[in-house]
Amino acid sequence: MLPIDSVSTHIHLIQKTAMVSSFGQTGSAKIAKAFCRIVGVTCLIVFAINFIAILLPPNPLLLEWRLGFLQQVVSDRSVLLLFGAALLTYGSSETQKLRRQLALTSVILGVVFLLSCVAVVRDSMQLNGMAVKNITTQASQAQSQIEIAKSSPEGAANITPEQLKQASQLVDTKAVSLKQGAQTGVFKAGSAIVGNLVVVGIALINLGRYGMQSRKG
Amino acid sequence: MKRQKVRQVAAQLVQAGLKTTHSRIISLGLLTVLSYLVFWSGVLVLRSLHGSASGMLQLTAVGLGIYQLWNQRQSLEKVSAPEEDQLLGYILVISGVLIFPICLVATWSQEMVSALTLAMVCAVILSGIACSTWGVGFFSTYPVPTFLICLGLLPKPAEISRAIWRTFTEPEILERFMAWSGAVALRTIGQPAVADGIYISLPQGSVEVGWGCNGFDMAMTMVVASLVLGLFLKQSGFKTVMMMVIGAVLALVSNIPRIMLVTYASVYWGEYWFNFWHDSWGSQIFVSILFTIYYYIVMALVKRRSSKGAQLS
Repeated sequence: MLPIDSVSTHIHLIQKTAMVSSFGQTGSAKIAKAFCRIVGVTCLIVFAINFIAILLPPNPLLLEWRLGFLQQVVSDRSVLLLFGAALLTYGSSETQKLRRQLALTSVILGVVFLLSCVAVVRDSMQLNGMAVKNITTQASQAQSQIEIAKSSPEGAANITPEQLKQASQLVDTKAVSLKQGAQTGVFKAGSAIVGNLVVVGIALINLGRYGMQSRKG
Repeated sequence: MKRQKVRQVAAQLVQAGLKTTHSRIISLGLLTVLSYLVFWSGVLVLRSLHGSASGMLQLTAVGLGIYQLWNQRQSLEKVSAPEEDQLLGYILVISGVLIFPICLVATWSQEMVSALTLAMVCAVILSGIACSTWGVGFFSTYPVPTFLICLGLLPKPAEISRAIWRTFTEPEILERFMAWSGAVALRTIGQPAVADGIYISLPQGSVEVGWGCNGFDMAMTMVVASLVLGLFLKQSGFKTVMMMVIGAVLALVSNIPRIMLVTYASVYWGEYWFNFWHDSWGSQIFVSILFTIYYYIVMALVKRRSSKGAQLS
């Protein structure tokens, strides 16, 4: 049998070790959260600076500006926003009020990202329509110039009817390929923006939901 | 008597719709979506009456999606959304309802843009209703009804799939492949056919394989029809995917003899027979042959697998 003093000394030692180790864990978790807060805030500030730089001077009525703005903000910088929001949400998990506000902001931002898809689709289709209209106008202008050359006496003397026919066919072929190229380019850019908006939007919404869930937990 | 009953039911619905904040928001979202759906189902019925297959397929897809959810109504009644999902759902519904009239006014003059943007807004509102009533878990529990209802909302899916195909593939890749395949098939029956890009040339003349002749539209129709058929016959996910692949491959393969025949008709038989085989009559004959072959292949697949299952059990 061990003497009572020896047993109590052992228990005391075990308690002391447990206290030290729990203090160590809490301390390292606190440091990790502080790091996350610093990096998160930095990411959000960098995003805000970029956002303002792209936003100014604002011209929301111009179609090209709107699409360019969304492409630059979403395609290039939205991951920064997501990363910053995630780190800040984790870093502020002890401050319930701040975490709730962050979670709600994430959800609202996610919904804004998702709804922006509607604007991108509309703008892309309008831009495509404008490009096709421009090409058609230019092609019809070129065709009318060919017609003028055909009817003028100088043109009739210098250019053969076969050459004029070839030129007319060339204009038609070029117009068709330009229209297809414009359509492909606009659709590709639009689908890339929509894809990014949907992915980042859903990620922000889930981040917000998680922030609200862990508040309850 | 009937009028009184209708009035009573309407009054009950209005009362239930205005009872709580949740039901008020849901009613608002449903009213917005219904106003669009009344217009949209009219367009789909008109399209079907004009002989378009996609309109009928979309109506079937929506009906099937709603039917699947209706079958699950008892388990859905027991599910309730967590607080955060309810909040997310409300934000989605209210923002969708607010943006709906803006989209309507901004895109009024362009039919396709208007239909596409309004369909997207309706999808957002419906997602919000599902989120606030059953939670986000609804989408992972019922992915097929969600997909079918979204498919039904999509305006002109053939044009959208065509635009996606053209954007992410080489220009005229399918037309060139079909021209090459048609020329190879013609050579096997002793014709001196040569493929040059999208043209099939014979000594007496040449034929251009355009977008309408490349088989893409038919392949897409077969994919959607196979999906609906697979769900209707209650097949497993793997079998449904197999049916979709078989439908698409069969549509593309059966397009080669069609190209051969149209080329032959154009070069040797004259304009009347070219128009006959190229336009609606020829297309209908080919489609009926294609569906007959498809039916026997798919039914053989379904029966073989089910008889195997019966033997095992």
